[in-house]
Amino acid sequence: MTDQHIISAVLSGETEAFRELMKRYESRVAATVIGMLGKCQEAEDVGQETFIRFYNNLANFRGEARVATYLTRIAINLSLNELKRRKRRSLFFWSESDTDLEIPDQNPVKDYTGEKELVQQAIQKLEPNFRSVVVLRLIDGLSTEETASILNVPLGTVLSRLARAQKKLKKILAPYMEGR
Amino acid sequence: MNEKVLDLLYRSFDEELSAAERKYLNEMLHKSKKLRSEQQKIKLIRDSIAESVEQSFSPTFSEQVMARLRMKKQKQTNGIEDFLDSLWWAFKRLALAGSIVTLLFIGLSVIQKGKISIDSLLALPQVNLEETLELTVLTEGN
Repeated sequence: MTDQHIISAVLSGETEAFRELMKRYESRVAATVIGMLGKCQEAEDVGQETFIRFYNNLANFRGEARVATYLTRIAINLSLNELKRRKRRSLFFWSESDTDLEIPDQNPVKDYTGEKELVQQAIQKLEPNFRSVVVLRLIDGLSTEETASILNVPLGTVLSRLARAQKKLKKILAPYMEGR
Repeated sequence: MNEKVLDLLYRSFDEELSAAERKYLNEMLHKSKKLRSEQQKIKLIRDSIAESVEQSFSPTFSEQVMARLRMKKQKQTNGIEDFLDSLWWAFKRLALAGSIVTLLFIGLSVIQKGKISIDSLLALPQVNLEETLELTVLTEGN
């Protein structure tokens, strides 16, 4: 069954068919949202909201873009909004994001889970604009052109943000990556 | 390290370099051990980022979304039903009030005239045939 068939079924009143679409794209949305916000309750909420928004706009979905791209666009925009909200909140309350990177293990490079956490924490240290290109290009595996289109910025901007983000990540992660 | 070469190195991961740029970068990579090490570091970081990806929400994620969708649908249905109910309720009250007023007027008419008069119910001036003819004669006389 194609995505378009499922969408038609949902539009004709079979709400349960939407479950199949979620099954197909949950991992993609999770990668984007958790990449942007980290593994937390807000990420779960934004993930849910992404699918709800998609459901509400199914009638307007003409199939010109792939469902994955459409969902990624919603997910990244909602994540960026959530980061703005976090920033506003942090103006009033002390935020943990100002602390140094926590090393989860004495020797994190040998511990796969520890390294994963470390890299995720490092990504969270990037500014939202840099984080979004890293997530779309390096985690979701989109092309630079697709990344530019989803973020609605020129290709050159994506390339320069990617380079700067990687330089920063290298600076943060280099001490923990020695010996690999 | 030469900043220009370093930029070229970063760009090489995300875009197709021109033949001249590719040739220049390869030459520099061949010459500089430090640049090769830098290339390895970038590659390692990119691979670590790709591997760090978390691809699932909680096990109840899809169930929660479906519950929200069902609730939304229920709300929409309830919204229409609520509107129709309130419309019916308002109509019933209006109809009841209208009936009471009509009955009052009929009662009043029966008390005053001893009969049910449509004219008095509708507050029309009551003119009989003789009065009408009299008025016509007077008008013609003038």
